[in-house]
Amino acid sequence: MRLHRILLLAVVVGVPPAVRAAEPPSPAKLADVIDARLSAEWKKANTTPAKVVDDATFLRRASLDLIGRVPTVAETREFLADTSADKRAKLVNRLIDSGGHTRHMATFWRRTMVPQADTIEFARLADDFESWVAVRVQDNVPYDRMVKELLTLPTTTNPPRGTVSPVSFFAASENKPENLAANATRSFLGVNLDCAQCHDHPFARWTRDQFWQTAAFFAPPQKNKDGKTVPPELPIPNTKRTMGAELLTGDAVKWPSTIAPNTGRQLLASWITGKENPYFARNAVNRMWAQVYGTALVEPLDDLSGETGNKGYHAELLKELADAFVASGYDMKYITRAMVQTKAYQLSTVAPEGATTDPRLFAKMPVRGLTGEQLYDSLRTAAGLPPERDDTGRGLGLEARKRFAAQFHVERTVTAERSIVQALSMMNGRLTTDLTDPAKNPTLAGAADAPFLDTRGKVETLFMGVLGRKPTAKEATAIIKYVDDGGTENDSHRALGDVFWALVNSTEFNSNH
Amino acid sequence: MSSFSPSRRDWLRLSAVGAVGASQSGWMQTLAADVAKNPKRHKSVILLWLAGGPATIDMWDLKPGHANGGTFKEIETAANGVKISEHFPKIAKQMKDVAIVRSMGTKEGDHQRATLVGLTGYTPVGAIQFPAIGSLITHELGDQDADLPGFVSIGGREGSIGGGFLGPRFSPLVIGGGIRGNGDGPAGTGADLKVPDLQRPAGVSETNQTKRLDLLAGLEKDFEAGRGSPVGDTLKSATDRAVRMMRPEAAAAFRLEDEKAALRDSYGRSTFGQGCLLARRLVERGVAFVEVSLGGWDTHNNNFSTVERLSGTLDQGFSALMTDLKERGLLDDTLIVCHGEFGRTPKINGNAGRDHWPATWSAVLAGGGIKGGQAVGKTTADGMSVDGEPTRTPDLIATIVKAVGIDPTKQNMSNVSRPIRIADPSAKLIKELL
Repeated sequence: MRLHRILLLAVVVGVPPAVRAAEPPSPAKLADVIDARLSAEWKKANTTPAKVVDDATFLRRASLDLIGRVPTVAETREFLADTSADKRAKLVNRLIDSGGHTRHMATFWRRTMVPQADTIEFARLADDFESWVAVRVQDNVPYDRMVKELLTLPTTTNPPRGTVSPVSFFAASENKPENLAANATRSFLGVNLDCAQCHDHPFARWTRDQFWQTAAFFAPPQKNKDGKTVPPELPIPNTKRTMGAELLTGDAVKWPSTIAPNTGRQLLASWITGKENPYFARNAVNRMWAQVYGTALVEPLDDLSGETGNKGYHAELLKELADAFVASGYDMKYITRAMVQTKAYQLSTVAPEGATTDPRLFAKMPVRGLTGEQLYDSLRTAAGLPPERDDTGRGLGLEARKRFAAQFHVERTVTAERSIVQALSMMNGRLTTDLTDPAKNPTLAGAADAPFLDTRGKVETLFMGVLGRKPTAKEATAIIKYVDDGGTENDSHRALGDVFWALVNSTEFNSNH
Repeated sequence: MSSFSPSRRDWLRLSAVGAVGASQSGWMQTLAADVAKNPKRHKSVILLWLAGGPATIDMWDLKPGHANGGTFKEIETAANGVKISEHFPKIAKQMKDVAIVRSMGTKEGDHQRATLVGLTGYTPVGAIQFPAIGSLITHELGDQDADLPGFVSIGGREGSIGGGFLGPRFSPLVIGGGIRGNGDGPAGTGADLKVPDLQRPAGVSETNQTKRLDLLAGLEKDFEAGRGSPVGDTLKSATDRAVRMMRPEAAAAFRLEDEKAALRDSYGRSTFGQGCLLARRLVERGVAFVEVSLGGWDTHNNNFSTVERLSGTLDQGFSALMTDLKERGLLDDTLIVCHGEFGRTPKINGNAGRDHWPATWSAVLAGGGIKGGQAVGKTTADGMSVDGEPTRTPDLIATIVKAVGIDPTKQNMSNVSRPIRIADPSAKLIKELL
């Protein structure tokens, strides 16, 4: 009987659910639901939302959010020239189906699930994990299946050479049950158990016992006196007590009669990814929302079991979106499509006079920083260099990208900060210096050498390449004069390099707005 | 504190931005003529970080006559009854300003983890990004309007431990070399103690740079309108501060060649010695926290010849630093701390080496805010265990913080939205030092 359960589990892992509870609304319909809910909040707060942004701003924002880089000059010109009414919806769908989206989301999910790989100690783990996620994003594997595959990975045998595996998730936690428990509940449930590891926190809902009960799922099975394999128990450090595996919701755990090394993890994974789990779908949706809107629907990201998670501002909307996510078969691209087709996603970062600026209302877009990866890819795109490779293979170029991304690492874009060292690197560093040289910057070379462009045309080309827009009349006047005068070196090519330098050092280029 | 508290978080962010806002008065704001005479004096900390795990049993807590004792002799110091290794003759003369904590006893025996604990005072837990002690102190004491950053790390320890949840604003400016080199080889002459990318790129004249900044200022002004945001503020402020640091007056802090040759010699012409001199120049200009790293202490083999050599480098740099600070009237306001991530096995291994040993080791403090001329705590005759209650890293961190006038129980909001104290709540002050 119990053996059957295990077999059944194994089958479920490999097959999408045959029957879906209810057909989810189309992404556009779901976007309407989001807009309706947000408008209701604006009304209650007696505030007006920001204006809808122009096409160039929308293209840049959607490109950064969905494929992790600014658009190329060609992409900008093409989008601006398109006169169809549904061009924004068409754009986001095209971006979501592109290779750039795969790579961008692989980094996003890796950062969510294996944040340790952003430290020097575990940096080596990032590539393999991102490659593993990339394949799943590309095939649009249901999110629940991806998480289950990760959690139930047999770690006793090495994966065959040449295959990608999510084993980094375990390595980043040093294979310790307590680290894995904290990491898994935070990444997959939005529940923070970290503080309960050492003591019962006076304000927290989770007890120290519950922490170690969760950790016990990750411990290897033990042998009893008779040599029989039995479910594991973990000692609580510095106490005489041991804890068996129990679920946070208190549901019963049914151990099969035959216990394999990963049986505990299979039991936990079934509960985590189960439709009844109160956190799993909400956590994924909340994090995906924060990825495109900066602020999550429910903050903080890792406290869904808290008061704001259940009764806060947008707790109900989060629940609705999570239900749609489940009904869609945990389709990650479906949820993303809905989120970026709303009117709310198109709002300006400039709040109307007198309007509230409470970020929880989503009545305007926040100005966000760029991740190191976004900044690197955007600098290359601005210079007219190949923005990205569709695969996540290795090479020298990727090493440079990784070094740069680590130097410009930000935790969350909405609270990003820049250090002096980073600013010095942007102003005087190797990459920027190279990019002010037409020989290494096709955008600059194209502008400088184009016989058919006057100075205005050259300056416009640089603006389009770096900022994705034309200069304003005021900007154009000052900069055209500077270039016509030959800058400070009596050399109009170098003066154009100066313009490129100023553009890539601007707040406008270094932020998502 | 378990629920989201936007007011608190916003307040923390606003206060950070507000402090910066005051400095937003233009790219090329003129500067008070002499930065060295900064009237805003606050206390500073210089951490001499001995990377690799120094054999403190051969430095500060010798065991002469015991089989674990090794080959070094003890010498008397200026402090009555406090004896240290014969290879610290210069420090011995200044022992009245120096205190040794001989009761350090910790748990981590792995370099990386122990370094993390040693520099943050916290054992790594989950996703919490604990800031370095230097970041915490800079957060409290640093002057956001200063031309120089508040936290500088010299000698290039790996930069992974920085501002943590306080943000990159509080991460160290990392200067010079790698700690993999021993710091006193022929290459390590201090010539590499330069700020990365502080110089204009080759071929860009000062006029050219000014013009570029003018172009940038024009772009910024137009973009700013109606869009005040914390992210925009931090981007502009970082560029602004980087430009200020490029100014000749500020960049001069790093010009060791401005010091007299005799003084430079007194520190020792090693990267570490010259790093100590740079630390003095920075503290003098109001920098709150300076780390100077001296690597090479991982003495699994030939412990004694290595420790003797490194002790010479340390003795010269450390003592010259104390003398120099004292002569300038800065020692009372500057706390010097010297330790590594753990100690080494009292038992000597078959390669005349000592292995990792966190259970007993010593830390040394000197100068401002602490009572010198004493040894606090002791180890057993064989050096194997602390005789009495061990002193742990959080205790040391809390004491350092307290000595420069900061409340170690003060809380900062962390990246997991939990308030975290400057020192671990379990920390007990080392009362004898304060």
